[in-house]
Amino acid sequence: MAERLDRALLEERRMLMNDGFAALLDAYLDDSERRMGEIGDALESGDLERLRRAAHALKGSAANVGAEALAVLCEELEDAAEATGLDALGPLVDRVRAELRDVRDAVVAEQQKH
Amino acid sequence: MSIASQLSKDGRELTIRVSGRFDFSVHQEFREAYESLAEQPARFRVDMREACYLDSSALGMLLLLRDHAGGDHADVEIVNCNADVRKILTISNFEQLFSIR
Amino acid sequence: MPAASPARVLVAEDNRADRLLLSAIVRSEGYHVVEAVDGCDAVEQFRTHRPHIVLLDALMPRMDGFEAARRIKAEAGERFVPVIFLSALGADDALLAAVEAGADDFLGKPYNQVILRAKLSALERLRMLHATMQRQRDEISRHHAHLVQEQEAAKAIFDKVAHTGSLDEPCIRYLISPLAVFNGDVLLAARNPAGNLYVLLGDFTGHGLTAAVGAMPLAEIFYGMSNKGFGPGDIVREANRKLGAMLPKGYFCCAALVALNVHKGTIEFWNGGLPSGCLFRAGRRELVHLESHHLPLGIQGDARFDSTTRVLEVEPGDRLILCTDGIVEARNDTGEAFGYERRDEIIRRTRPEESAFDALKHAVYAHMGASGRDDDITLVEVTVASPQQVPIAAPVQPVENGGGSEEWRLSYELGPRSLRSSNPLPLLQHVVTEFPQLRRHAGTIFTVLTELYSNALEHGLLRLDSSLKSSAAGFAEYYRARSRALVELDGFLRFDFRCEMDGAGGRLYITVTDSGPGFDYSAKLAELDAPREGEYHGRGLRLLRELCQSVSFRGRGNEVEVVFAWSGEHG
Repeated sequence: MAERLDRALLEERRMLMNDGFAALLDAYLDDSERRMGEIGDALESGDLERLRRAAHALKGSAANVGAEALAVLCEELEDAAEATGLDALGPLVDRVRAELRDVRDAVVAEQQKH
Repeated sequence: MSIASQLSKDGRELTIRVSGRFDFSVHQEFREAYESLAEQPARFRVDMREACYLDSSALGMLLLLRDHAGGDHADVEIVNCNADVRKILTISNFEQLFSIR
Repeated sequence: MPAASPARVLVAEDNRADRLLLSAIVRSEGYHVVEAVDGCDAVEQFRTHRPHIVLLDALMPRMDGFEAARRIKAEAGERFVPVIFLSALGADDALLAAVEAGADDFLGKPYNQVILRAKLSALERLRMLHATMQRQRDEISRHHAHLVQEQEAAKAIFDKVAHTGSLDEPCIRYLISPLAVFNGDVLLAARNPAGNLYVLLGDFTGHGLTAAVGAMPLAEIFYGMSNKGFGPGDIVREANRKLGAMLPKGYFCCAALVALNVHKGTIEFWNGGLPSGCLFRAGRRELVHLESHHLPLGIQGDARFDSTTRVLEVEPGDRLILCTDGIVEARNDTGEAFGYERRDEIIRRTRPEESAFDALKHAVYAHMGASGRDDDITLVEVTVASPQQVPIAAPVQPVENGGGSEEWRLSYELGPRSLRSSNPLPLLQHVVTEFPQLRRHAGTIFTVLTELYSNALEHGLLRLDSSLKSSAAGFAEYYRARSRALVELDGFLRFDFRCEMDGAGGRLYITVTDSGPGFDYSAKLAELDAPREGEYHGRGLRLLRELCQSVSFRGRGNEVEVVFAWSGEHG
């Protein structure tokens, strides 16, 4: 799991938040689930702008919890939503979804540690 | 600097050189030129060679210098005036108070 | 970090996790945090909590960060509220949009505590600086408003003192263009009891309050003394004394005073430090300069002050022009001054029926063009009226009661020292006008006294030859000789008054006796009965005969008696 999350950054966040750290991770789990749902809906309805915005938001919060790989994938998706057609986005969305699943597992594991 | 001053070797004469416009903007510098001296010189010379213009506040500054130098007993010379400067001094009849050359 | 009460920071971010994190970071730096969940909420929270610094996510639902930033900046008005955009805005156009919306800085994700701390403290310092600047600016503008208000009040008072009197008479045209609310220029005009016009133009050093404060006593002295019958020399001496006592060293007033007597056809002037005035003899197309021969007022002590006036002859239609240095020093775009030559040339070109005033005014404005005015421009022109246009006496003062019966005598003798140094007319005028009945005729009596006095002094005692005055050169010589003779004068001069009055009217007998050898008055009187046009001498005697019931010479001609009579009803 070490490669999913930036340990040092996460440790910094834990020091800062103290008792609030668990709540921060909860919030991240909620936010990311909601964003992923938005991305799926937008892909289905063909709303590229909505897709791009959701990818942008998912990228930002991923970076904030140290999920660098996910942030990079989200940026690819954000760019692709602007540059390419709807058809090419499907596989990219799938990769984001898969990466997010792993990140969420790592976050849950982090929560259980404390 | 539009005001420069120099004390003669024997310390008895102070020459104040004015350049450019002689007006209220140099009022502080002009005063400092003679007020900053530890000992009062016997004579004062105001050299106008580089002065192109003077206004009524400059006339006021000259009066203050004269007063500082002893009023009616003051020895203050105004030298090297150009025609415009000379004219203004003449209209005000300042030759009654200063020796103007 | 933040002082007594912590600065408030608004955190607007729609991702809950990001918002929690950022708030925690900001709070850990000692700030008070206000949270908002989208753009609309951000504007709402801004209104409610007036935060000092705003952190805004760019992409938010309902209202994005760009619009929120614009509204918040508008809401803040003059207050400087730094806005940090929370997004790594990669694309240039998004960056530009943020800056246009008012972004002062950017913060990318992941949030970094050290970087945020640096940015917040930098913006906080900037905000403090801005607030200090604004406070100082407000203070300055408050002071300025206060000063302007004071100046306006002072100007209102000043105008009541300085711009009253005779400035509105048709023979006077003038222009005063103020540089600030107050300029250093003072223009005063009045008529003395005999109806002679006195005009004083003054230019105080510097503009503003110093000038205004000095102008008040100057105006008071001018109006008070001309009204009492003092001459121009007496007035400038008193003004010099008063201004010298009250003005700080280095401050003074350049001034010219001109007294015009159309009945005698003379002007008497004194000029200390003003640019030469101009007397334009329209008929002869001759321009005479009224040069400055004296130091400005307020510089020289009374003992050294020179109040000597000069006298010139004038004719109806002649023009008298006075100006301050604003006109000769008015500069055009290339810095060239208007100068004396241009002024004189314009006056010389004026046709007799034209006014030099308009031509000069237009020429100066045209010369300055768009370069504006860098000094005060004050210009006055007096046209010499014909004697018929000007009543001999100043307008009669109304009297409350007619006065009862009176009978009195008064004798007043002046020895040589008094004759050399003082003018007896204001005192005599003062005594005579203490009587209500006589006050109605104050102007006429003053004219009579003036004529009797100058005749007795100049001809009886000083033995001056009035035929000298037939030529312009002799005219000047006459007044030079008068000054010389006065110094060597030995003798006396006496006024005897006898007054009889009741409700129905009365008579004032005035006898003036001098210690001189007298003259052959029978020949003189015969000559007067056949007046010739254009002669300068003898005008005084003719004037006396017009104003009085009788004029008679006695003794060896060193004694003259006039009888001034009036009736009870009016005039």
